[in-house]
Amino acid sequence: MKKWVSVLFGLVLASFVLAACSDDKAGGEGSDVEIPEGATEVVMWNLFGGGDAEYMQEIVDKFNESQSDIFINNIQQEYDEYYTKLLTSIASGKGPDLAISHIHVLPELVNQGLLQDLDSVDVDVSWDEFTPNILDATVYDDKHYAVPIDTHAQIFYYNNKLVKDAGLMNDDGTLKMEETPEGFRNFLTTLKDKLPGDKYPMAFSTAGLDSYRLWWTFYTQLGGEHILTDDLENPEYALDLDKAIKAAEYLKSFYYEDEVIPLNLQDFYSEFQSKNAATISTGVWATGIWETTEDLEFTAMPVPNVFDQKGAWGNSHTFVIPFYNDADPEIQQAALEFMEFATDEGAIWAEAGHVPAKETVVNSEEFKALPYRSDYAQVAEYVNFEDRNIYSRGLRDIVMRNLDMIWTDEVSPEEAFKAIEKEVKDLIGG
Amino acid sequence: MGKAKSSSRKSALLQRNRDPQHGLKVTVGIIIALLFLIPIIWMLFVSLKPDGYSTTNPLDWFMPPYTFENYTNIIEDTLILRWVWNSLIVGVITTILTLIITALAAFAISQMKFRFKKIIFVFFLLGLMIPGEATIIPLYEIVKNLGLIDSYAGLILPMIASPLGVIILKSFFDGVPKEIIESAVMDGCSHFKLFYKIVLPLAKPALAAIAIFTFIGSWNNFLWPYLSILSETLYTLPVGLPVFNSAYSQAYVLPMTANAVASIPVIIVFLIFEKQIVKGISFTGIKG
Amino acid sequence: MKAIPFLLPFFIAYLIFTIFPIFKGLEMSLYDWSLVRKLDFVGLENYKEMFTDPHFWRTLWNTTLFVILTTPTMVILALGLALFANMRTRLQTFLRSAYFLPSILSVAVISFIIIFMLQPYSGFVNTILHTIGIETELFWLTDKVLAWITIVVVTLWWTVGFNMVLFLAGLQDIPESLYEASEIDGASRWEQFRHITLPQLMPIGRVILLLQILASYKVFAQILLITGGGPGGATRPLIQYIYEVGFRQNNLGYAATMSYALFFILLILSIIQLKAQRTEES
Repeated sequence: MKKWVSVLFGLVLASFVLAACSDDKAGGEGSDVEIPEGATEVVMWNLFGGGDAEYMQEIVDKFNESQSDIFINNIQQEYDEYYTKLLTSIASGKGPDLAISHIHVLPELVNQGLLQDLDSVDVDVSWDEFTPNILDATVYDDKHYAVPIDTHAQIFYYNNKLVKDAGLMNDDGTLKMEETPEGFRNFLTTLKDKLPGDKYPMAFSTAGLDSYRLWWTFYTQLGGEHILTDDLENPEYALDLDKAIKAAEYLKSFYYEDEVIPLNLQDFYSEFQSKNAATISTGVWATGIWETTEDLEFTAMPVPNVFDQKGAWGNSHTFVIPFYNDADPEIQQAALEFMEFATDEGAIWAEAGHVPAKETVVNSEEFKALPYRSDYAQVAEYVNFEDRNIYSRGLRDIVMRNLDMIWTDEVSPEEAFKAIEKEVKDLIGG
Repeated sequence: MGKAKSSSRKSALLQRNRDPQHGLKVTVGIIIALLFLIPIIWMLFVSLKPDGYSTTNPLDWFMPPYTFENYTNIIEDTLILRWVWNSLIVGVITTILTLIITALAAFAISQMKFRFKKIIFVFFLLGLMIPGEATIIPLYEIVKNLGLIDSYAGLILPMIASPLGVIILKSFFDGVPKEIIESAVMDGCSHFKLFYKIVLPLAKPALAAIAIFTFIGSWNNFLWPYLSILSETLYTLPVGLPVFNSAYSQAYVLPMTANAVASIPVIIVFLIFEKQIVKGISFTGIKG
Repeated sequence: MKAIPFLLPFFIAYLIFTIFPIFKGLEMSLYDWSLVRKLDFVGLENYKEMFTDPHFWRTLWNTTLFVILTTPTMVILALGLALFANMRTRLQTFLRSAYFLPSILSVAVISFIIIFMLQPYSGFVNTILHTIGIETELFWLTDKVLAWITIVVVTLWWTVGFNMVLFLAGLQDIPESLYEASEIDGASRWEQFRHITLPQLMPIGRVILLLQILASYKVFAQILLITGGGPGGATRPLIQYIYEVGFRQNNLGYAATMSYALFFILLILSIIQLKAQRTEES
């Protein structure tokens, strides 16, 4: 009896060892990549998921195949803890050689001394080809600290068939909708009335980033500019309370009064993808996902500008080189060469849905030939970037957490913004 | 022993006959047991469904057709097995090192004479009152300065100095009959030989209990690997699995297969060693 | 000094990884200290901040609430299950294994089983509720009260096995003769339970109670994984806040300060525990 027990246990253990070893050989996801002989390996971290990840990999592959001196080892990191990991890894000297960073995190990274000044790396970058206002946001103390990749904004998509079924589409494919607060609400409630009960008027989240972005979009459409003043290191609290509350109440009415957004959908992307929802609002990167979804006929457009002025949440991805005391200049040069290559290949990146950062790419025929993008490329002209300062990440955490309480109907918008004011002032030491 | 058992069985039978509610109680016990098992059984059945399967009828989850394809996919295309392996390796090495250093220290305190012995033992005892969770931030800083962030060593070394292990083993060593020790010393046995050849084999039950406890602790440790590991190839299961699973929010099948792959080995080991594990827990639990 | 080679390995590991962090933590709590490096000396500023930080108090309260909710239920459930698992029936082994099985699963596994089972609209639990006619969509993880219930129930389910085993050991240590004697006196089963079983289990019960309080103050993993501390921070425990301040907000100095508060609480609790055990033994 005892004997066969130990035999069985031995077998279990042995199968473990074998499985783990064979796994080693096969090479798991993104691990144990083979680096071509003689090539300089540049470890790159990205925070992309879904379509973004695939298009970035396509650019990396294209670069790796285009020459044999440099090999970019592209590693995808989890989105939620990305910056935590990036900071800790650079600080402990075990970070990547090249990384993606959102533009609003740059001030913190620069302030902490975590980024290499790119002008000190011996590679010529064609800075004059970039869109100036984005490029400006990557310059600190007259030095370049990042190479911008794109502008991305919160936009709006609709399912052509469902909207048509509800009789809300004009002959030219545009929406029968007045761009006013009431008009947008009527549009959504009509969808609710006209569509069968198992279809949602709008797929959206009740918590987290997307709700935050849409709130920001309405806030800026109302004329709100920012939460903190523009100072990078010593900003002051400057939320326009009335507008902030009004924007929150407007979005909240979609959840509760009008019930046009079902509460707590686990995965609102998949509801739109599986044609269960007539509309959705999220970032431009979803374009690439919808495009590759079978049978999904959709249209992309800016978030309806229902209030006084045009506005949309926006941000940018950038490339950065982490700072290390004992950095290898050869690796840094290789990293910068890749950045130049990747931004020139912005058309590939645009396939994910983003608006490329190089003007030369935006004006290229290649980009103009892409469907959908032109429908919202104009947004890039009026996007309102998230506040950019050394507290940006903490600021976003605070605002998002408190907004979440509004969406779950725990607290009123007034209470939430009161809490936000207190917490943010604590954060910035005001 | 045999006699005592049969007599207690007799009185048990007596009791059973006398308890009119016995049947009801057993039924309630079984119902609770099933409630405890349902989530695990559900996980196993979901893992056998075709990828992408979804239903709003709860019973459908348990119905055929079944497929093992997901297992192949998870094992071949993901790092789950690698993480199981990491957890296993870290657990085994942590356990072995813990046993070695705590046994050595406990032996010295129990059987050897040296200055400041009392003070040193009390100093070790203090560790019982220092919960790892409360020193995790400075520990991170220390391990970072040692250059051990993102390494097996960084996962293992901070976990091996277990004061509880020293205390349990010391009290066990104290109970080794003086005659055995004395006769061994008479034979010119060195301290190390005494430790290795005589005392250690006698302490097997205590060592087993500590081993089980240490291993389970390491297997389930979340906070420290969460902070100190950066590369996904070095993740342990508790850290890696959430990263994998959180990429899915509505596709049930692959995450549940991943969970099953992570659980089936431990379930098998548990069913084999159930008696020892239970004994080990009551042993350390009562001592600790 | 023959003892040195025996003591040294443990001593070194103990010194570096257990004792030294206490002093390092004290130093860190007196500085502005980022993930990257030590910044300015700030004296007691971090401590002052802690006492006026509503999040510190809120998360400390959440952790305490968790202790209050789980400890008594845990002890009672563990005792109940131990009684069931101690019944003389052919299914004894099955009952014991079933009650204990969740305990051996990784926290990541149990958390994600629960997350998926409790999903709205299509989750296992809600679809069962729909089938039996409860049409209201319950948001287990995003409603404040339901989120707490979920956390407590999951914790009980996951960890009750350990405590049940301890009670089982206690039950088996009760001499059979006590029951036999009371049977002769004609005691009912309830009276036997009240006057023999319960008092005999008191010592182990007290140990379990204190171990449970101590362990519950360290709660982090299952809450982080299941609710992420939400909705809106309603279930966020102190350790999660320490983690967020230290690593997300890049402020190790303040995180170390709050760790000290946790250390202090746990220290008092473990002193109480050691005292209680001491009196038990004597």
